[in-house]
Amino acid sequence: MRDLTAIALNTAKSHGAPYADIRILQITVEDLTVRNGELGEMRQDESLGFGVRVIVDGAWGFAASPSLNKKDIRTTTIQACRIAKASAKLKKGNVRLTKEDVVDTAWQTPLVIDPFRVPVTEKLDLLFRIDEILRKDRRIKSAESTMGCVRERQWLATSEGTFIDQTLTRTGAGYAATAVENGEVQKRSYPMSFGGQYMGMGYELVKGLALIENAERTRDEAVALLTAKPCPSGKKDLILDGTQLALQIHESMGHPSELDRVLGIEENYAGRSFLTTEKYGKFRYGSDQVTLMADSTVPGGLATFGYDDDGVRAQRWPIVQNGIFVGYHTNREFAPVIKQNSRGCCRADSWASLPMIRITNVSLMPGDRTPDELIADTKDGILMCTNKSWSIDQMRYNFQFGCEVGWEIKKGKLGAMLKNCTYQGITPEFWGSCDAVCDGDHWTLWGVVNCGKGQPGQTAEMSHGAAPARFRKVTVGVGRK
Amino acid sequence: MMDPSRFRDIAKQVMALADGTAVEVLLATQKEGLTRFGNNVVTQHIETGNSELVIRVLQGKRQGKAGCNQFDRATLERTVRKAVLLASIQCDDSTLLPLPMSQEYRPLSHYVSDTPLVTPDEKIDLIRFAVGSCKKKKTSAAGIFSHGMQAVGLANSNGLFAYNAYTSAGFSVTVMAKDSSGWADATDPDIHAVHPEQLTAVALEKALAGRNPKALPPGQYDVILEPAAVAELLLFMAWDGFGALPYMEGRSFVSGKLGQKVLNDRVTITDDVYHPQTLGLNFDYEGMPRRCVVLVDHGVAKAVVHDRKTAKETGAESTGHALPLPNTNGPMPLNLVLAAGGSSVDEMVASTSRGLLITHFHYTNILDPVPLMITGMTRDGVFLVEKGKVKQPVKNFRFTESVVKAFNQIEALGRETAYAHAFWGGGIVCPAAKIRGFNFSSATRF
Repeated sequence: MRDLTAIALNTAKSHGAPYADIRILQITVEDLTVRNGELGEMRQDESLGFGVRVIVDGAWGFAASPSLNKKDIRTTTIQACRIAKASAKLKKGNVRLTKEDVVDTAWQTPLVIDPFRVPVTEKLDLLFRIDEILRKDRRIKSAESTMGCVRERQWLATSEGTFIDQTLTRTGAGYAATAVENGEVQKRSYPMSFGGQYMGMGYELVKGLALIENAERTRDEAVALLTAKPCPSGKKDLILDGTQLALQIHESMGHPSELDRVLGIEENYAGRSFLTTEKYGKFRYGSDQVTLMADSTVPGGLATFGYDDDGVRAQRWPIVQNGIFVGYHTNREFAPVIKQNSRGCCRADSWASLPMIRITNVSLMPGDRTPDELIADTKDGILMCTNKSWSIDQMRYNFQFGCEVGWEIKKGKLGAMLKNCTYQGITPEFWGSCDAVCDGDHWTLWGVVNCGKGQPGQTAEMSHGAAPARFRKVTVGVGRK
Repeated sequence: MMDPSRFRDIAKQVMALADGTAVEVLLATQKEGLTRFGNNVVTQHIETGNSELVIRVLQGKRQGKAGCNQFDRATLERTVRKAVLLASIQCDDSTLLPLPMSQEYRPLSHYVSDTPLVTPDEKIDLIRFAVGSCKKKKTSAAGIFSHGMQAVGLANSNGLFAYNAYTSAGFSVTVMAKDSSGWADATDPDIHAVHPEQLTAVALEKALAGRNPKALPPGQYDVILEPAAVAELLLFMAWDGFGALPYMEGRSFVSGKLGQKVLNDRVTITDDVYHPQTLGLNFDYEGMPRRCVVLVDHGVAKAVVHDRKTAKETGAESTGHALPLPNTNGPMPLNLVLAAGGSSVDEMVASTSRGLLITHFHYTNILDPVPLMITGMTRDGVFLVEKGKVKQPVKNFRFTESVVKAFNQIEALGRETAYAHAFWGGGIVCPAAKIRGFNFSSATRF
């Protein structure tokens, strides 16, 4: 691969690029889904190609191609230079990258069991067994069990001399049962919604998820929701489980701390952020209980890697420290705005995509309570679990989430099951109302596999660790009039 | 981008490698250029392309599928082998249908040869001209200018061959003032029909008109929705309402209600890829001809869309709306058209005693599929209308509302339609709409 990457780098240099990089990427995907006793999806796909990124006349250019041969690498690189020259006609200043270490190295996701070596028959057998359990009640109209794994091998070479051979592997599984009766539709998922739990590890994850053991409960909860009480409307103390908190962290802290959003680069689609640079280091984002760490080194994270697509080493740093906003997600291009080196957050979702700032693994650090203590200490509240829907405004202030299931909490005890649970808030007020976080024994790293950003849209994966936490006087039961 | 003759050659190779096994070859091929700008300068500028092949083999009642984006013989052999192996380890699926025979397709061309040919310099010049007006007004523009071509090919061992290409050019712009924003967007097969300077002028005018917004309390307001906001509501009807699978499983608002009045008299919705304002293919992902389907006729639910499997299970015919097989979603309408009415936005404003004029919505999501209860934010221009006039810009709201309820409370539809995108994508042809008593559940800070 070094020979091929050298062609791009030399071509770029001879066409006036003081900086260039090339990523050659081979992606292998396996997806299996069983739905209602039939195959819902089953594919094994390969994709190979390269993308060349150059700076010419102080502006970026990018071109990509699936044709990995010398001639097309030259042609594509020349096209990237041509694009950069055109872009330079509409710039404010020259793109300047932070100075980072030059490395020649390799990295790969640590694995115990390679998911691509586990026979498909074994995987399908597990999914069909789950499916059978989920469909044992006639009111379950849709049972979906999913398993997937992805391997991305990337060779990144930069004109500064960096060469990184990196292999990332992600694996996951999960299922959902949808009960339908008399126009009522209710769903329960396990271990979390939207395909299940995914991590940066091997098939050992699937073996440890207790998928069969939880199928009956999941099915029965979906059916029970059909006749459950609706979520009440009003202000309640709210306890969120870790799976829901993962998405709450993602939407209300992950995205707002992306520095490109803050600077207006994403304005036309995903929006901007209320965490503008004058707030850096002093804005009270949440209560003292709230410490959020970004960490692309944490074992098992979907955004755990050796190096990002800028060639910057993975790091761990605080985003919120005891309630104060202290950190951004950055890359080499934008980090100088806050007078720092890159935090190594630049990632692309394929060889054909331009790397941009993406959320890494951002986690709520554990506190010192247990879930039982939190419930016992709550007079009038709701426990909500498992995300069902999400929405947040373009500045990341006003959010509304829906959860698959809730339970009343009255005088320190769990009560009736609740359906159609929703809650709404304004980000800093909501995190400011957090008065308790459960301990490390109840903390799990949860995967998000469908994070969309950019134009054209890219999908990224990351994990968010959380233990259950409590928020006081939150608006619940939105729009149920 | 792979042309039809090259695709035919590759499909023949695949069929030869499959050695008599029933096989379907699906091609998705595209070439795209996209320039992003923000803060009145170019921020990203790319050109890319790819062709992906998905090979599905059928062995009796078993199927296997594998994909690749390299087309040398070794890769094709490996991909066929994977698909055959996956098929061989399945249990029989009694509902699996044999591959369809050759089909006839209604001609459809949304292809304009100039569209893919725009150079990087030409794009930058158009953007520079457009954002120049924003600089003069001390505002900031962010957006995209995209252009490209896409094609889908489908061939199978029963002699079916389909290939359809279309072009698309798009310009989308958000203009930011100190405490307001405006937005405009257009997509067309013909690059010459997309006018960056005109769209930027619309967005700029909105941003300037939106300065000094005042906060209003959430609650119920009559609303005048511009086409992009209407498209946002329709997208959820397409996803959760008009496919045969949610219909059959009781998860759709029309489940058990075909032939019944479900929406306001003013509402007629079709799925029509042949509409001149939309983009798409004249066949579906199993190679069946895509039909124009009337889904709601003057408020009466008339039909849902089918693939061959759901058609067989319900005694209907395929309407040509299959997604790539196998899949968990069932068939889906991809080209919704809400028929125009007889009003204009100005007339809707003039007829409103108190309400809100809304540009579009942001990050909308579904809460409950049968009433189609959804929530999302207003964005890039909300204006209070009082006594028939646009009075005052207001801060943004969150809405939490049933689409079914909203479409039962439509009071007027625009006489012109536009091809509009929802936040999650899609492309829907629809007019502006005036809706009575739309529910806003909370406000935000800007």
